[in-house]
Amino acid sequence: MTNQGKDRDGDLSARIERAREATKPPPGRNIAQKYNHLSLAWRMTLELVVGAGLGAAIGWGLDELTGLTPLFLLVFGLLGFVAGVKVVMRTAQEASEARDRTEGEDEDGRSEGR
Amino acid sequence: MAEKEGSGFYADPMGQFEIYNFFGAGAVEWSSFTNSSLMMLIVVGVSTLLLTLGASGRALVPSKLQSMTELTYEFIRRMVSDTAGDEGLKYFPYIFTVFIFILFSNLLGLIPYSFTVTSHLAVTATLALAVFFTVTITGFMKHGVHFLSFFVPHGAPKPLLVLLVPIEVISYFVRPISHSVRLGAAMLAGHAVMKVFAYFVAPLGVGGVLPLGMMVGIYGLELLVAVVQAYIFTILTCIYLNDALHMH
Repeated sequence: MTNQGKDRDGDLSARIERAREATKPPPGRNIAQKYNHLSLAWRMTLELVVGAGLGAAIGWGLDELTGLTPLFLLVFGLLGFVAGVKVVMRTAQEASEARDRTEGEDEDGRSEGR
Repeated sequence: MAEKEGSGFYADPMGQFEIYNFFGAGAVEWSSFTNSSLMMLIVVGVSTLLLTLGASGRALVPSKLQSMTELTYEFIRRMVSDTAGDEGLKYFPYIFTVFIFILFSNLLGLIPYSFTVTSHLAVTATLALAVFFTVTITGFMKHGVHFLSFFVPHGAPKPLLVLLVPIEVISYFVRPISHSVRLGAAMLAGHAVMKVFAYFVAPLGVGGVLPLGMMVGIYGLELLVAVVQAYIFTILTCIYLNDALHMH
């Protein structure tokens, strides 16, 4: 009797396992995940452009004030570009940290859907 | 939205973003009550109503509404404590308000004939500036003048600081700009694309099923964008707050 029960339990857990496998979404095919990657790419592009643009704007303003026309535009344009790259690097670092965190959570069995 | 009738193909995908005086005609001034103001009031009203109703039940077995409210609350609360630490929880009411406002603006803006408040840079820039000033003031209140060392990289040789400090300062100011432009652009682009497809439906006759099908797909994507953009805005707020609370 107990033996039979055990067998049925084993059967059931195998069936649950099979059902889980069947309903599991295929990895990398998730549209939300794709959108997240896309928005991350957009975010980095935007940060790079904004950095260079902001630097150039500051330089242009300083040129207007001092009259040394191309000097500050060039210097601050470059500084702004470097600042943009720096922000992008930080974003990338945050993204990889977040991915490590979610992967750790997936192993614990509670996925966050980031 | 002014659309000409019978003048062949006419498309004005940006017309939906127009701001006009809600009461009567006339130029829009700073004190005007516009369609955007009305939509913001609706957003605030709907979100307050839903959350209050959801929180009022307090049943042990929650209803759908209560469950939604509690899940949202706990989700944001965990985000704040994970990203900005326990100290950041002081700012949880503010962050939750920002999240709910953006989320409901994005979602209610998807209803046909409504208006997407967050598609305007003026609104997203105000939200981002509010976050920017909150974070900066928090930094100065917590660390005093020492907060300025945030702009000085550790262990850098002294002569290089002439270059490095401006770079750090510029990247600090890049954040509110990209913070606001991203949200505004994402909402603007999605709605404009949807409108462009909509203009193809009628002229194509039976073939209009194709753009209509595309619109259904894009609408689904826009629902996703609405939620994800609100999430991104909120988690960036938490990250900036964390920078100010616990300097590197």
